[in-house]
Amino acid sequence: MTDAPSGLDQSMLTDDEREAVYLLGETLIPEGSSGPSADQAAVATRFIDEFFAVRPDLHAGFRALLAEANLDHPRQWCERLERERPEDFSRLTFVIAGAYLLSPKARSWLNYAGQVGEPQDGSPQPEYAPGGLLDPVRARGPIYRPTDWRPAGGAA
Amino acid sequence: MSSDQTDVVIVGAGLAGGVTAARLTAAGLRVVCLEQGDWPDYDKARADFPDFEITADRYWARDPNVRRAPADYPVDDSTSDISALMWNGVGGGTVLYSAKWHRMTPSDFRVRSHDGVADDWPLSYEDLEPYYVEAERQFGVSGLAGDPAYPAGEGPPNPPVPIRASGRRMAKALNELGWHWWPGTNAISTRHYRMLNPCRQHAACMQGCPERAKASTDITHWPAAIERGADLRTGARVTRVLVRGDRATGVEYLDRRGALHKVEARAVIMCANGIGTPRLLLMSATAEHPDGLANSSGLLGKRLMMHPFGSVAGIFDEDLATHSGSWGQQIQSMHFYESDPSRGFVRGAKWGLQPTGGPLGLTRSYPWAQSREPMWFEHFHHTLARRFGHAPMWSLVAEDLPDERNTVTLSSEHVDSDGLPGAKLSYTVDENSKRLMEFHLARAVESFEAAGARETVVGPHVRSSGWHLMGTAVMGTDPARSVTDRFGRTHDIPNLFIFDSSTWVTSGGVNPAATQAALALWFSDALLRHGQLSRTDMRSGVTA
Ligand SMILES: Cc1cc2nc3c(=O)[nH]c(=O)nc-3n(C[C@H](O)[C@H](O)[C@H](O)COP(=O)(O)OP(=O)(O)OC[C@H]3O[C@@H](n4cnc5c(N)ncnc54)[C@H](O)[C@@H]3O)c2cc1C
Ligand code: SF4
Repeated sequence: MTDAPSGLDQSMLTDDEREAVYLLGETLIPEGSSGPSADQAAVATRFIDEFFAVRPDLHAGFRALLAEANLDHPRQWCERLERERPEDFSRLTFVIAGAYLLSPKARSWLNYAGQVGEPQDGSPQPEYAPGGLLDPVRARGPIYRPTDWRPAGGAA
Repeated sequence: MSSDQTDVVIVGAGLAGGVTAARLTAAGLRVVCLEQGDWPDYDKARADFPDFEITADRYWARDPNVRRAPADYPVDDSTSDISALMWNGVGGGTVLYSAKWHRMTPSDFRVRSHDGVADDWPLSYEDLEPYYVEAERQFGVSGLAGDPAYPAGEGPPNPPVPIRASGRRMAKALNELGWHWWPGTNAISTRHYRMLNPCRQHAACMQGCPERAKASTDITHWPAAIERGADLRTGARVTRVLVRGDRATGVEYLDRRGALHKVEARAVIMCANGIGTPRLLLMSATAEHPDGLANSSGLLGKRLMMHPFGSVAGIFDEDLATHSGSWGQQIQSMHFYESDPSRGFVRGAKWGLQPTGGPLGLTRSYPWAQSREPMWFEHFHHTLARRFGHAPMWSLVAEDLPDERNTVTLSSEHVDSDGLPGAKLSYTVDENSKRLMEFHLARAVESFEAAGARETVVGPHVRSSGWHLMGTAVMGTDPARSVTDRFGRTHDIPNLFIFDSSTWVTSGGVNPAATQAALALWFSDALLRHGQLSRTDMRSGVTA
């Protein structure tokens, strides 16, 4: 890991680290038949910074992982990490995929507008009206086990 | 040390604390509530922002050991099969809960009589029924009356959340199988209802509802209680309950600056949850009560129940828009809820069908972490696109039986930011729970297959799922075998009460908030009705 000289913004990645993000990104999320790769989604050049702007708490741990990555064989290194240290692999992929999914390119591939929701107003639903999906459930009648309550003697 | 006096001091401003404070202030009592955390900051609710999925687990993390906010105390789970989850602040667990809302069934109160195991509750479904109705009004619950899994009676005040394509699909499949289902019941409002707004189906309910649609007691109960005079002090960590002889005289607490204060009260009510309550009563040991307060039975901190949790997702070819929806549940099933000895285990589980949210969540966590389908490298786009929007999930809440070996004790290794001991859990998922879960997971898979899912993904045992904390100060009629009576009053110290789910005799197989709220009302009414705040308490308490 290359330490940024003191006085520089510690939340920035060095050029070497950015290169590592590029390589690991292209390994974990290469170009697919339907969607963009990590590089095409500008993970290493832009969205990794946007990621750490809102998750600075994950920065140091991620840099430590970058520092130990074998960038000559990124696929083998990732597979080994997944096998032997699944929690660290999960940390790595959370950052890479998280940065990737901030990118409008990646979001438009999935047609994902975010958790924007859909308004509803509690209107009656036909499924629950007579003649709807609930009819057979209602027709079968009660399924609970009734109790014949009297105070419990000797219990708890 | 500053000192003041009140009628009632409540420890913890979560679900039970909020319901209790609202009830007691409405009856004219003077209430001080001490809460170690703060009000939730809904400016940090990010459902409407692109960074939602990456920031969701920072402020709103469920595991206090991960979140490590100043109010959190460490919970050592190294000897527990399940990690405990909670929110330490005004609203308590309701700030984070997904608001699935279920009454327990009549048989849940009669496990010993029906199944020959555990114990019966010293109260019944029928006792609680009016309180369930009242709690549903207070929490603006949405759902539909007439569920055949329960006795007939009044239903929730608001209509159910939309069934959506996923719910419709699964409801049809369950109809073909002849299995029970019902519209989801949720403490999520579908309309403008008192202080709540209609749900907008963000599927962000566990990471700060941005709409004020989800009922949490910081919204539904505390403002009204404060208006009526409740004195809610945040950043106030109670360090011990004070006693003289067999009377509680009040509590001591530390404020944020570390200054010690005393509140004298005619009654002390513990609402600190199934871990916080035994922790504090154990921490309050004195020479006269060397094993902790209200612990002459030796059962304080024992019989911890946490509801083993499993999940099954089905992946469909059709787009079912499962990134959105109340989370919460669209529909629920209790088809296999009641005991059937031929299955090789007792009791059951409730199923709730829910969305699976945004794409980042589909690369990790339950049940996806258990999927055999590869996620990364050349598989990434294929796997993610197949899941995203195409994957409803059943979440299964399984009843676990009380076992005195499942415990909350004081940690000898970890302390909170005030130097007080953390909690230590010992909890093992037993054979009955394992068989129960295996059976239910298999049936849930069958239901997805019947619905035409292309693939099912099973999360058989989710470790980080201790959202329900019950049983650690059991109620009962026999002081030698229980900590409180059926009104939450401790047998040993008559003006010390426990109103949270520490008192539960068995856990039921449903999400607990409905019963916790109903019980807090039941306990509060008993306290008011029985005049347990007599002048004698005032004399032997405050002035003693
Ligand atoms: C992530 C999550 C999801 C959930 N989903 C559901 C669901 O869908 N449906 C459902 O029914 N239930 C659900 N639950 C469970 C439900 O929220 C809890 O059961 C409920 O909130 C417990 O209520 P309580 O009053 O016992 O304790 P809590 O709500 O936990 O409140 C206890 C309060 O006491 C305070 N406290 C503790 N010790 C001290 C002390 N020494 N001094 C001062 N204050 C103290 C704490 O800070 C806390 O605010 C969920 C819970 C979680 C965490
Ligand atoms: S789905 Fe409804 S309850 Fe959940 S966060 Fe959105 S508006 Fe709130």
